[in-house]
Order: sequence, then C-alpha cells, then structure tokens
Amino acid sequence: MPEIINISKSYGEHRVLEQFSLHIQEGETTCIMGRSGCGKTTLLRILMGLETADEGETGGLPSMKKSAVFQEDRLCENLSAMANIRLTCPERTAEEIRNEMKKIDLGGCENQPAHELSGGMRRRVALLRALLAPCQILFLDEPFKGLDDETRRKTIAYTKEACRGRTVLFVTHDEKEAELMGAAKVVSLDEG
Amino acid sequence: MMTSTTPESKEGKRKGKIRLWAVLVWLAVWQLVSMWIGQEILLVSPVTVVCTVVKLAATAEFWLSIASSMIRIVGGFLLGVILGVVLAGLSAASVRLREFLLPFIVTVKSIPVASFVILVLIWVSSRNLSVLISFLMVFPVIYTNVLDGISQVDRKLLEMARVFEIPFGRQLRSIYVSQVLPYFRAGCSLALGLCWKAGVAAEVIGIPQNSIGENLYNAKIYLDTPALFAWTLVIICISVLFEKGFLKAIGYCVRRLEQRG
Repeated sequence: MPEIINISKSYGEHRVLEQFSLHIQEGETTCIMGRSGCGKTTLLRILMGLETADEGETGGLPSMKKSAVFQEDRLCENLSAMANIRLTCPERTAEEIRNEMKKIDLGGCENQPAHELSGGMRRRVALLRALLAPCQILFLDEPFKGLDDETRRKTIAYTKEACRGRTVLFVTHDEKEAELMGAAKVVSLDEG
Repeated sequence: MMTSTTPESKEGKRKGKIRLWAVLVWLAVWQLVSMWIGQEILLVSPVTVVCTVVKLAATAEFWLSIASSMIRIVGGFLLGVILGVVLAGLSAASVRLREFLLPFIVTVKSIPVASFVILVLIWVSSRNLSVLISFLMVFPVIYTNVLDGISQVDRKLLEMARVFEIPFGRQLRSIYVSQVLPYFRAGCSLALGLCWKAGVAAEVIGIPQNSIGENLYNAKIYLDTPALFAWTLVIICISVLFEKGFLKAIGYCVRRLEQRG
C-alpha cells in the first residue's frame, strides 16, 4: 500500500513541502486540495518519480505502474488525438478508444492532429490517455482545468466512473470538483 | 496527420517560393546581356545553353557521366546522413562521445574544400574522391543539426513518457522523430547543396573518367563555354530534383513511422 512519510522539499530558501505524510488508500480516490502554489504539483512530481524529496519516504510508489494527467496537456502536437491516446495503451483497439472518446464528446476528432484541437479537447485527450493506460496508481493534476461548466460536469462523471475501484491521487483547488469526484479521503495541503 | 512540429506559414511559403515571372525576367536579362556582348565564348545565351543540353542528352556519355557522378556523390551523402544521425543519437546519450567528436567536427567544418580534395587525392583514387568529399561535407552538418534537434526535444514530453513507461522504440517514433525532423530536414537541405558543389569540385580536380567533373574540366580546357554552362545547368537540375525527392521521401517515411505509433 503506498505510503508517503514525512516528505519535505525546498527550492533554495523556499520550503514547498514540510514533513508531509499521507496514507493512500488502495482502490480509492484520495483528493489533495490546497491553494495555488502550496506544493500540490511538487508533491505529485515527487510521487511520480520526476523529482526527489529532500527528506522522507514514498514507500511502495516507485515500483508501481503509473499513469497521469499533468498540469499541462503534454500531447505530441503532430500526432492525432487517437495516436496520442494509443501511445500509452497500444493494446486497446481503435474501436475501443473511439467509443471512449465519444463518451466525453471527442467523437469525430480522432484523426485531428493535437495542434488543431481546442484547449478543452486537448485536456480531454490528455485525460483519456491517462484513464485508458494500464496502471496501478493514477495521478490527476487539475484534470478538468479549462473545461466549460457543461463539459466539466460530463467529464467529471465519466472520470469518476472510470476511476471506480482504482487507486487515484486527485489534485485540485476546487472543492466542488472534489465533491463531484466522490473522493474517499480529502487532504488539505495548506495545513501540512 | 502533420509531420512537422513547426508548420510553415502561408506567408513563409510565399517568401521562399521562386516565381516564374522572376525567372523569366532573369533569363531575359541574361539573353540581352549575351546579345549585347555578342561573343558566346564570354557569355553564352540561355537559348544556346538549352540547345547544348539537348544535344548532350542525345549521347550515351552524358547519361553515363551523370549516373557515375550521382552514384558517388549521393553515396557520400547517404553515408554522411546515416553516420551523422547515428553518431548524433549516440552523442546525445554520451557526453564523452560528444566531447570526442567535437574537435573532428570543428576541424572538418573549417578546412577549405580544396585543401581536403588535394589531401584526400593522396589517400584515395580519384574515382572515389567525390564519395569521401561529399561525405565530409555532409556528415558535420547532419551531425550538428540532429544533435541540436535532440537537445531541443520537449523535456515535458520525455517526462510524460517516463511516467507512462513508454518503450524507447515508441518514444523514438512518436516523440523524437517528429521533433528532430525540422532540424534534420534543414540539415539535409543545406548538406545536399554542399555535397553537389564540393563533389563536382572534387571531380574537376581529380578528373575521374566518365564524370560530370571531367566534362566540366574538358569544357574549360577547350574553352567550350556552351558545354560549361550546359553542364552547370545539369548539376543545378539534378541537385534540386534530388533534394525535392529526398525530402519528400523523408516526409513519407516519417508519416509511416508515426502511423505505426
């Protein structure tokens, strides 16, 4: 079971994380909340293995297969929406992916290159890429950023369903999103 | 599906396109100056050049010369491209190799072609001279451009690939190829011009049998200005056509690779 014990991280004089501990419940969605700049993304980067903590342990996490929605979309601009999604899940058939795309209103843009997609479409492609990738833990860093209200509501419902029974670490600053995602545990990073 | 991450704008395409009217004006100027001088030995007219090309094209030697020069120069070019890409890839992964190759690259880039030609003539037969010269012109350009391209690959995409544990082969096809492609294409475009210029110059000095260089040399010896211009026109045409064909083939291969994902 993934366990974060007393993690600290500083950039020069600026202390971003101070002795942060968290027990991630397997098969559940854990939500990490906090105001902008409180260290949510830094924490996720440490847990994803992209940065090292100055102190503390991330027990169980390094060996787990990971999937993620980053704060930026991080799509391959020249590849189509379909190819971007297939990059992380080549074992899925085009038909399967097409069906999932339709569920979040991405139907018809399968062959459109990423650089031709709107901001909201790009975000949903990045989300689908993470949701369809085989993984043991899923990191979601502000996954609904930039979506309009109607699309956000629909996408949250889809994501909630797709995350059922999976170990998810969901980062947001929006209380409503945390509530709609039905997180089993909500942790505030502001309080350390 | 796009192949390049830096799609060229319409304005950019317009700026780089050669217009027919401009070519015609230049040809008219050439014809007028030639008529004004009135001595074909000094400046041959475009009409005579075209007639000479047609006359030359009717002979088997013409095609044999083109074929043998092309095989050698293109052979050197392809060798330079393959080695340049492979060593740039390895250099991106190994600082030691990059440091080891840097003095060689800088030296090859700074040495004048003529020095190389004379030096290389001591080592290899004049027949293979243009292969080596063409290779030496192409290799540093391709190596430097591809290495630059690799260093400019979006770090965020590489982080994404690391988190998802995307195998290296798939990363190569989906991330590296398209991001390095604009640098590679620019390198090829520059290297192709260089290799034809340097390759033919090497042939003029080495004078291998049945080559474009030999024909240019003979034209100079016999003061055959129409043949000199005709062969120059042939070199320009081959160089441009080969560049267009090669870059098209590269684009096609990249699309196929990306489609394989």
